[in-house]
Order: sequence, then C-alpha cells, then structure tokens
Amino acid sequence: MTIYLDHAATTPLASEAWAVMRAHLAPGAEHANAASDHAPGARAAEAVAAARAQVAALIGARPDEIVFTSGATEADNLALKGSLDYLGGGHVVTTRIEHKAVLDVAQHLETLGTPVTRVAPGADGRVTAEAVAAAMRPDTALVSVMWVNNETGAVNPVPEIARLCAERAVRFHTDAAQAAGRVPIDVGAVPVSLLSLSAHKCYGPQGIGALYVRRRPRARVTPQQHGGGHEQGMRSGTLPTHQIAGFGAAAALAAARVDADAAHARALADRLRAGLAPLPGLLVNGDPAVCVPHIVNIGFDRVHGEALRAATAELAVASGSACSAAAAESSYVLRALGRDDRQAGAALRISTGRDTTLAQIDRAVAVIGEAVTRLRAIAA
Amino acid sequence: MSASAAIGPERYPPAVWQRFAAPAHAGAPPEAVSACARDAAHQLEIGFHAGARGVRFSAVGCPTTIAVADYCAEIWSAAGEPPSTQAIVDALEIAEDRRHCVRLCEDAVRALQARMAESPSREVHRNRQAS
Repeated sequence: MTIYLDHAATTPLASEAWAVMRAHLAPGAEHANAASDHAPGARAAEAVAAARAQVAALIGARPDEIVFTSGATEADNLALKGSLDYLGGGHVVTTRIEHKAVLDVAQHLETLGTPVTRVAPGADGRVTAEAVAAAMRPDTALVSVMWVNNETGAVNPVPEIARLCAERAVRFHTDAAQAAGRVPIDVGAVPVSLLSLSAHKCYGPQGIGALYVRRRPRARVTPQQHGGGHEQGMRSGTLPTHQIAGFGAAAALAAARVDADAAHARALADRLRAGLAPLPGLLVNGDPAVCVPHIVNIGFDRVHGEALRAATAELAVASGSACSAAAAESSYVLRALGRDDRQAGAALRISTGRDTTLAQIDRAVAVIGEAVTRLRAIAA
Repeated sequence: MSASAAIGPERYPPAVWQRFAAPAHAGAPPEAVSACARDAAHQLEIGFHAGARGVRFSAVGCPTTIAVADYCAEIWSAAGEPPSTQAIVDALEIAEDRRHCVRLCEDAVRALQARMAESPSREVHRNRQAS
C-alpha cells in the first residue's frame, strides 16, 4: 500500500469540501449558471458569493478582491502579464526559486523585451528583502516573490518585502499556493498588491484558484482572457459553482485549522528528521528553522535519484530527475541552493498532511533507510 | 514495462529490476585492480574491480546502470571476457533511451582493461581464468 507523502503536490479533498460540491454536482441537484438572472442562477450566485467570502477570509481580504481562476498558474499569469500590460511595461524582479508558473511567465515576458532580474536565495533557501531591494531599479514595475517555496518549504520574508515595495510604490505579487492554510496570511497587515491561491493545495478541488487583487491602493490588471467580462472584467468564463463552493469550504476549514495543522506537521517533521538523522550521507535541503513543517526535503550523497525513488516506490513522494536519454535535469531550486546535479537529482521532497500518521512516518523512515543503505553499499 | 508506469518494478524490464533489487556482484574486494567511468550528464558512474574471485562492480546510478554493471561483472567473471554491447542489450532488454547506461559500462570495461594492461602482474582475474 502506497504511503502518500506528496501533499505539496496536491492534497486530498476535504470531506467538508466534497459535501458542498456534491450538493451542486449530484444527479438531480439544482444546476444553473451563476450569471443567469433566474432563481436557480441567483442561488448559484449566492453559493459563489458565500465561497468568495470564505476564500477572502482565509487571507484577510474583502470578497470583491478575489478573482477566481482555474488555479494558481493562471493567477500567476494574470498577475504578471496583466500587471505589465496595465502598467505599460517596466522592469520585473523575481527569484530563482519561484515555481515555473512564475519563472516561465517571466521568461516569456523577457522574450517580449521586459527586463527581468532573478534574485538568488541564501544558503537557508530564502531570499532576503535586502537582496530584493538591491535588485530593484528606478524602472522596476513589479516584484514577484513566492511566500513558501514548493520544494524546500522555505518561508520567504514576504511581509518585509511587501513593505519595501509599498515604500517604493512598486507593485508586489506573491504566489501563496503553498502558504495558504499553512501560515497565517493577512493582507490587511501585509501590503501585497496581488496574491495567488490554489484550492487543491489546501484540501479543495483541483481546477480552481484565485488571484487576490488589492482594492486600496488599487492594483489593476489587464485581463488575459476575454469573453463575457466575468470577475469584474478581469477573468472571463463561466464560474464553476461546484469547484468554487468546494474551494470556499476548504478555505474556511483551513482558516479554522491553521494552527492545529501546523502543530501536527511539526510533530511529523520532528519524527521524520529524528529517524533520518543517523543515515549516512544525509543532506537536508533548506534550514528547518525557516521552513514550513509539512515539507521536508532531503537527499543523500553517493546515491542516484532515480535509484532512490525506485527503491522507495512504496512512498508517494516527489523526487529529482530521471535518467532518460536526454541529460538529466535536476531541481533548479536545489541547484540555486548550491547542490550539485547529482545531489539535487537525488532529493526527496516529503510533504505531509492532515491525514498523515506517525506510523506512516516511521514506515517511511524504514523504507528510506533500507534503500539508502543498500544503494550506498553498491556505490562503495 | 512502460515509460509511463509509476516508478517501481513496472517501469523496468524484469531482468533489470531483478538485478537492481538484488545485485549479486556488487562491492569492491580488497587488492582488486579497479577502474571506473563516469557520465556527468546523467550523474552516473560504474567501477569494475578485478580480483581473485573474478570481476565485481560498484555503481552510482539508476536501476538500469546497476543492472548492466551486475550483468557485465557476472559474464566477465564466468567467461573471462566482458559481454558484447548487443549481448547486454538483449539480455536485459535495454530500451533505446537507456543505451547511455550500456555505453557507460563499455567505458568502464575499457578503463579496467587498460589498467590491467598497465599492470599485468596484477591481472588476478586473467590469471585465474588461465589456470
């Protein structure tokens, strides 16, 4: 039986979210387009409005600051492209450890002539506000720094960076897909302009996310998808009522459980690290003191990544590279932290969730320990 | 076997998985003549070690790399010479996109043969075969 330890990739759907989704999806259930003006449409619109308020509450926002998207990738695209379009271009500052949803957009913008600076992380896996400040130029239009890194779990100093940008009147976007429900977020206290969210990273359904767009001071974005003027004209397309309702329920649950979930994750991480510590050649990627507890990223010297994954197939974890015909491409995030290709390729990202048990962690430690011992013996 | 299969036994030919799971010829014996080859692009390395009890191997690599090295060490020990490239490919059903593992093995074989040629007095394995 596979032990699922890949919650940073996607979380299981919370039963509370499934319950509200089923109410909209079940055969015979009332169905309507939330944009329709008949009674079923109005009830769908009410469900969307309720969910919008729940998602807004998770991050301390107003409901009218939430724009539903298909996920965090679309939210990131809208934030970066929509900002540059609206602002008429300018310099962009981001980091070398962003998710591809930001890095690839930045690269695309670069091909169109946008100057982009990518800030390197420190040894602990975080970028500093000082490094971001040093990268900013008089023509900097947008800064985009993720709240929590999806590979190492490193928590960037987003409040500090947001204040820095606010002081310089520079728009600031953060991808908070891995942060929502894991760390407290309050956009009332942290002056971010734009913030991306993903439902399936916090026990909601896949296929739905949101972009927080600040009202005061207003952070306008030019729409990147046209066709009906939904979501205040920023994102056209029929709203998927069942997914939005599920996202809302998951957000409400996440807000209520953020402390309890963090405590559970810390207990699991402590057990995991204690179990792995005696293993030879252990490399811990990222400083646990500055990482969210539900993500633990490790590697082993003198062990090949694909062999390690093959030998630990009982565990559903995220891994580095595969040994295909093309040269193996290891994690750019771990290489940015100074790991060499083999070390980065041999990384395992173990990410726990509400459903993870200490017994599962003990089993994972045993499986990894056996694999590492055997593979290092072959390498000797 | 399927390239799209989940990581684990289904991803590899049975002969590869069997040798990866339980390689019988791993480990460098003391007093062996050793040489190794590396593939930096794929972060692989294979070492061969000729000693009194035949050829053994060490490897940092994917399951295919380990299986190829184990098979080569077995045949080399038994037959007194390493298997041909085609024999390795056929025996282990190596797919085209994994041929770099076999090429690395060839490099490691050549490296050990060169070492053995440099120090004929230490050609323990050949002497054993000759006797």
